[in-house]
Amino acid sequence: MSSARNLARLIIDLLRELADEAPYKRYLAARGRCHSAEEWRRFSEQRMRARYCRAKCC
Amino acid sequence: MTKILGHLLWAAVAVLSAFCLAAIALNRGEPVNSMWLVVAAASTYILGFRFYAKFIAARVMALNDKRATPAERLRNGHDFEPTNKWIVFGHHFAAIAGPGPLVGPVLAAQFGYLPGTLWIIIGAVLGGAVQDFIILFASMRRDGKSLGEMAREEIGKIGGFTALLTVLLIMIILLAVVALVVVNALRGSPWATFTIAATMPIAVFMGLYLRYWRPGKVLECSVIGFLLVLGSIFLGQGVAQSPTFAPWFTLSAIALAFAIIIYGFLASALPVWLLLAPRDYLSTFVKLGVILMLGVGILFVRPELQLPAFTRFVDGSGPIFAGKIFPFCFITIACGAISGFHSLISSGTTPKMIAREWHAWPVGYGSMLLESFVAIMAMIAACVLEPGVYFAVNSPAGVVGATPAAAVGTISSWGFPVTVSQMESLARAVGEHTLFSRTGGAPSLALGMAHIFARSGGGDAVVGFWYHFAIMFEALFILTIIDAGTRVGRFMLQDLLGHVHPPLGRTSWMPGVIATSAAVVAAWGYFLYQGVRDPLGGINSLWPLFGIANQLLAAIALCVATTILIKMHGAKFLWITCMPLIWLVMVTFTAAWQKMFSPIPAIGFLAQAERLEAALASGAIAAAKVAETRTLIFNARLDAFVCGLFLALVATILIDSVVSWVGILRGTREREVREAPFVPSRLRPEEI
Repeated sequence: MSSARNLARLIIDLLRELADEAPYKRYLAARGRCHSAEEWRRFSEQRMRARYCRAKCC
Repeated sequence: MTKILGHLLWAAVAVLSAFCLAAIALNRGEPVNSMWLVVAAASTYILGFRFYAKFIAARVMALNDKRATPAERLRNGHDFEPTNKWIVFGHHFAAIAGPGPLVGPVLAAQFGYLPGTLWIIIGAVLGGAVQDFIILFASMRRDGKSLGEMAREEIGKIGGFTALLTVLLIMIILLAVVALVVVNALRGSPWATFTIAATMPIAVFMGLYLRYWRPGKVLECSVIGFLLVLGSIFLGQGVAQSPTFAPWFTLSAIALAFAIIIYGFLASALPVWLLLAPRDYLSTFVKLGVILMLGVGILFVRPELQLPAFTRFVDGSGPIFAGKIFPFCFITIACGAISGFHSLISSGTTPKMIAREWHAWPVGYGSMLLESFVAIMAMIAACVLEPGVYFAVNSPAGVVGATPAAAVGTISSWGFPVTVSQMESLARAVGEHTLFSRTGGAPSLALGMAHIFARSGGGDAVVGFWYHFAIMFEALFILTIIDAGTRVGRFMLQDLLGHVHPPLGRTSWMPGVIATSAAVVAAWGYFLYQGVRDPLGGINSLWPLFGIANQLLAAIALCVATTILIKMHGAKFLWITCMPLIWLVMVTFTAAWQKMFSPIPAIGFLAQAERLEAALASGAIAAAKVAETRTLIFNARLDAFVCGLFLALVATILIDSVVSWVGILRGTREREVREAPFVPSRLRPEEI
């Protein structure tokens, strides 16, 4: 039962990572800021700029 | 006692692997169940991971968990962040899994299931996964440096510059070929075209949702986006049956090509949050979900393979692409066995997330094995189709004939019986007007997947839905590659042109953005247009070009990896990277040479140009077709030139590398390993 729970937690964590929700949380924590629309936009723009400078795999 | 049991267990896995490989290799004449392929692949991967990869990790790389990784040393809560190894594994796998491992095996199935399957398994264990693993390790020990930076540092300036130029050129060909796959999947199909068209406003809606209405709620937004996409598939069926709306979405290949070119330009020039990013999120989740579903579906249905182990086309006369098994099977399946593009990912985001050095073992080597397994699943999905149906879908009209009667006549004469009524009823079942000559691999893969999904539940009543779901899945993430790739190409070009005229290098200067976006789109758009106009379907010329390019990039990555191994251990472990490198050089150089100079027009670009020129000179070409024929001649020569350019670039890096290796081994060249200095790790287990 606990391994099923761990697996479910791991999958949710992975989805949050892929969805940039976990990096956003870390971004806020590292800067000691709270969530706001403006903060998300700032984070998202920084992240996208870095992401779309690299080729995507075929 | 436990040790003896362990040895016995591994011996049993080895016997199982050998038995399954022998069964699929030696079986002739009887249908093979797909589970033989699944077990052969899985057991070989497990052995490769446990023994070969662990040997490389422990003895060659000397991975050390006491050494702080860049994720720990340079932690910034953003790019550099120590992350749970399974999350990095999923992240890395999502990044390396593209359409390549799905489309390549489907095309290579024209030789039968055996050559492609063996190459996928052996190539991944001894080549692809080794390349990904060593490049990830090298980048991790060098503060997350990119392949280009490592090539410049380890091999020299020429190597570094050539690697960057090669990447840009490969991207142009990649974007053209994947766009061609989408065009061929959507051509004349209102259902599929409507579904894909609907994903654009859905992506814009998601972009606005994330930006203004629910900022940061990506998962919630992706679920809504996915439900809307599912709705569009249902709606698409109604559109396809409507006499009013169906003509709007029934587009020719040329019209679709221009639509994708315009889309690529807009996606490159528009703000990234509006279209590109939301589509990217959606495509990542759909991709992972569908791969999982396909795996479960194959295990549940355990279908039998209908294609034989070998077909008559091993002699090089294949209708999908011309050329013998060696070298063409090995360049057709690049991703899934060994892919140069993976080295860009292994030296991109992933090394900045690894918390402990030993995590590189499952992440670098293990992710590639999973990707290889995806390729095996694609091979199974293609081979569950009746051979006659497989060739009717994948063979271009220029080879089998433009009418259904001509096509079934040609294909049946090859020994793969198929009838017009069989193809018509199949087309009706999936809601298409026709399935003849739907080249590119995507439609036949979608048919195979729909067959497996429908047998898992729902039966024939849902085949149409699953077919269009599979087409949507393939097109969705191919379009993500097109828009992201165009943008990346634009950045590379701006970077290059910024040295000539500084404003062009500014990513915020709109005229520069528009001009460079247009230049990149024009470059891949030209090759796409060329493929669409090609009477042999385009895939015949463009996919081998892409395969050669991708494998040449892998050769560059292996040159970097070999240089690093020589600096670390001298010649002792040279064989680990030299073995796949020598194989790749043989394959790619032979393939490129044949594509340029083979006297058979179906293979050699120059022979093709000569044949057309002779036909023009003899007056055999109708006056209305003269201009088109001249374009075909120019395109064949252009393809030969591109092939030659790739060869020249990689030969430059190879020679540069060999000179460097000889120098290091003789002691006339610096042997310094340019790793970041050792810093002890202070990371606590609860932080990962």
